[in-house]
Amino acid sequence: MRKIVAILLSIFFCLTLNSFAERKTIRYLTFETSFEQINLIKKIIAEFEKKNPDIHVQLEATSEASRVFLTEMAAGTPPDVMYIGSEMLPQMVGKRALMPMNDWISRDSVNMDLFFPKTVNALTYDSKLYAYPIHYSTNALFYNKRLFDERGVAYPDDNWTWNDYDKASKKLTIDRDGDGKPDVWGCLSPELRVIIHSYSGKIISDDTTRMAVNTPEALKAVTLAYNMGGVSAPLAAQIQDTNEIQMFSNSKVAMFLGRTWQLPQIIKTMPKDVPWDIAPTPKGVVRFSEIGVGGNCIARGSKNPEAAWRYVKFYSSVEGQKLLGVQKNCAPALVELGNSPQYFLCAPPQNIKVFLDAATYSDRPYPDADWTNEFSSRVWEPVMEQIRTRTITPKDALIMWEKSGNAYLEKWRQDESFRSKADYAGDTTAFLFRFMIILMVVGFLVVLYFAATNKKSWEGYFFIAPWIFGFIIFTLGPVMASLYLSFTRYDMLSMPQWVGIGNFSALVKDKLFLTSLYNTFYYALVSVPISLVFALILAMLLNNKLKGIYTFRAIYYLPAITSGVAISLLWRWLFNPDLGLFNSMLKLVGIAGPGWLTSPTWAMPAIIIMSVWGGAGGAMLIYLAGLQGIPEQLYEAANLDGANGWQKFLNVTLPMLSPTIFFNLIMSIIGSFQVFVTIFVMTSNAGSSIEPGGPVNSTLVYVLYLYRIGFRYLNMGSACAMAWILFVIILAMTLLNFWLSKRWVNYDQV
Amino acid sequence: MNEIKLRKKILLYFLLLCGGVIYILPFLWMVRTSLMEYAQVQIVPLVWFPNPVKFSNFSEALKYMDFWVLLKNTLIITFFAMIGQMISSSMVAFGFARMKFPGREFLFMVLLSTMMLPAMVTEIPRFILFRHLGWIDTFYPLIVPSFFGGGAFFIFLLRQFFKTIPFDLDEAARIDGCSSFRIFYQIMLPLSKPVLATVVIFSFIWSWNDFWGPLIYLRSADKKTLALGLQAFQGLSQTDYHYLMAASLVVLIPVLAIYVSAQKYFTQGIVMSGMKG
Repeated sequence: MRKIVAILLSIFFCLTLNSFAERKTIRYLTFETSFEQINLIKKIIAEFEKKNPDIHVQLEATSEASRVFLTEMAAGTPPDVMYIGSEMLPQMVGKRALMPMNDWISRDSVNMDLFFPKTVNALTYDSKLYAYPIHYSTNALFYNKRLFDERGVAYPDDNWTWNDYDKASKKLTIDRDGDGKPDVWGCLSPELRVIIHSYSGKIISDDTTRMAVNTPEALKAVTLAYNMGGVSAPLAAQIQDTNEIQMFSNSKVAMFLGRTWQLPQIIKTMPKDVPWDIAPTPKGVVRFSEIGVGGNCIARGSKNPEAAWRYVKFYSSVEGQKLLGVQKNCAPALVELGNSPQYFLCAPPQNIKVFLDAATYSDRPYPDADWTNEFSSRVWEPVMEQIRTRTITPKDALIMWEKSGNAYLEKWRQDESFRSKADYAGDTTAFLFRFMIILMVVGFLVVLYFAATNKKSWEGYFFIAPWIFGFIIFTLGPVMASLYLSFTRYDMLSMPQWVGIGNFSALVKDKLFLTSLYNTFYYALVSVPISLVFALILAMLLNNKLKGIYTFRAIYYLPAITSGVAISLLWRWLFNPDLGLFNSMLKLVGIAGPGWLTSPTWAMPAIIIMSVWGGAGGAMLIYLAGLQGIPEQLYEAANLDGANGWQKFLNVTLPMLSPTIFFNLIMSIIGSFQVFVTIFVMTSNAGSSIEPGGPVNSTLVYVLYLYRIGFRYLNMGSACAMAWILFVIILAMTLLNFWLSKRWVNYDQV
Repeated sequence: MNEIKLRKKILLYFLLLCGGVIYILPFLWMVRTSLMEYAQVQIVPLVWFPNPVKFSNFSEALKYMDFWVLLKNTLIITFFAMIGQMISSSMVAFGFARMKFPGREFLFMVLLSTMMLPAMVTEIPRFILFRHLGWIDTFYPLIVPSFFGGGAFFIFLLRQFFKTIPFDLDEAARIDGCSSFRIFYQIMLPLSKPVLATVVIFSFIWSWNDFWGPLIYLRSADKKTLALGLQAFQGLSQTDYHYLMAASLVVLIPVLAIYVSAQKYFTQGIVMSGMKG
């Protein structure tokens, strides 16, 4: 009793304390999830709260911040402040989802000269600042001094041009074992955008109306990079480790054009006895580097914009940023901290000042527009991929960029009428909610009517009632909302605009849509039968009464519960073209293995092998459960009839197991048409702008493309349309199998 | 006869071992990584044996991810979601498998079709719905729906098994004056132990490892789950594989325990003696 009183009292106390203080809560959403960084952010928050006792900051950290942000914006409950990168900013600004900060800045007479001008520029659109700068990342040339010394090549300096880079990379390429394949590469193929700009070429015209890439300057740049491929820079299929940092720290590549954020990992993984440093990006006609700036933005719809602004301002203040200590993952946007040896300017690397200098000559690669994501993956990357695999000549690459880019820009211009209406509307949520409530009511009325007219069957309805209610409350509304949205232009930020069957007709014309459909059928038609049979064999093996069979059952189930990261890393190693287990074993029998995940032909088979392996555990378990249900006496009877093992399997096991087989069949059809996570993880490249689904879209499956359209291009209406097309396909396959099942599935046969 | 049996046994063990190696590999990789220093993890070609062996990775990782708070939350969510799924999915499955009522086949197709629409496109409307219910940043969105049917997967699975149990049993029981509910409770459930154990395993694992649900519906740090907590080792610019694998191993232990203990119900092959056959 005393305890209860004490608890009640303390609750009461807490409540009253809170109401006296009247603290406002603002929510801060960040991409950064590593405990080290989170602890630093917490320091800033603690200091801010000490200075502003009326404000409480709730920190929300998630690696999927953009998806969470979009969902919360759509629901009208945006976090007040969000960390955002300059590459994601244009889309948000285009939908008017963020608050400009200029009024506050002039009101509080904040001196923006404290920041490197380029960092402010990169976050400014139409002369309005939409995110308050924190730090930035630029290019620099990372090089391995030991390899340079070994080949007697002079270290890169301020005067290096791309030609020097090219020449040095050839000298640095070493074939140690004389098998005709380089063991150390001179360099990695540098980002073409950077070279094109440093030859004072352009990608898009300044007024963003057409492509400006088909010029002699750009041709020079592309030719340079193209000629390095396979000679002094590895082609996609020749890259041995999972990322460039690994190749660099394992001394497999002598230099590469990296970015600031790669510093901490290089510092951590580079062996102590291997000296390395950085140099400025090589010059062409001019020097160019891409800049990426991170800042805090304030969402429109924030309930406490004033408090949010105070927080944002404090976060980027000298006082706030000093709490972070030495930062190497990005250069500070504040000039004072950037120049301070205590906070940034200290070795390693020796020449870290390169990043500060880069702040003067670096820039955004494209002019302002709200489509950079989509442009990069629809126009830029497909051609890049062909250049990297040397399947297109430089001249043709430029022509293809020009053609696909102009077509894309043209389509984008036609969309003007939709874009001009796009305006963040917190009331989409109220609108969709009403829509769902109406459906819920209609659903209940239908059920009532049905129950009233079929009173005799009340028992049956009683048993399925939990599902009926759950369906009407939690599923019907959202499902129908997505059906409605499939007929609209919906970007999750502004009100849906009705477009009739526009989304569907645009999809049919979209080549990638058809590719994704083909890939999905390929995946499903191959993986479903194989995994069904494979899991059944496993289950039959594991159903034997042997000593230690439980251990085996656990082992074979392990992949289903092992960390997905571990599995994907391990399979990347298994599939590694040169060092991987598969190709090493194939080599023993004298077969030259394929490039697996780097080969457009073999990537999908590799994925299928992996998913059959990993998915077998679940299906096996269900088969095992089914096998337990087969009565012993059926086998005894078969024994009496003199049946052998195979006959028993055919005449007893299979028919008796048919309901279970049927279940696994239907579930694997439904699952394989929606395959997503495996492929997403296996084909993602950390830190690169290449969308998962490669190489050359060979593993771009349906839901992967749907995800890209919905959450990367912010075209949820089109994603919904895709989802409903897939729904019809899966439903058709399922109905077909239910119809066929009457011929082979036996229920209640004992 | 015995020699043939022995040969068969040896062959079986051989097959199981060969496959087992491929299946246990990622797990071994996890163990070796969890005992390594960061710099050693990424060396190519792959190093299998940690040197030095760092057991301290475990205690450090658990400290950094605030393990005990996350464990408590995950246990609460997983436990209630599992109970809900067990009760409601077996009930609904019984309805679909053993009862006759108008619209049954149609409703069953509707049930299955709820799995055919990619969840990504219903994510936002569903979030809006829960927001208006005031359920954001609570465990309700992760628990309550389990009590309403428990998901098409389990209903379909259980229905398949219930359908294989002889109908004669129901009829005999009904003649004895048994209600439908007693048939469900006293005949059907005890006969379905292996598949119910399967439901327990799946349900536990899915809730335990669920990433998207908690990611979207839980905001405050003190409400997060273990699956989300593992993100603490995957930063923007680098992944601390050694901590990540140490923490993942600890998170995996309860799952393995559930799996192994549920196995018990897989040996009690259903005794149907005394029945027609």
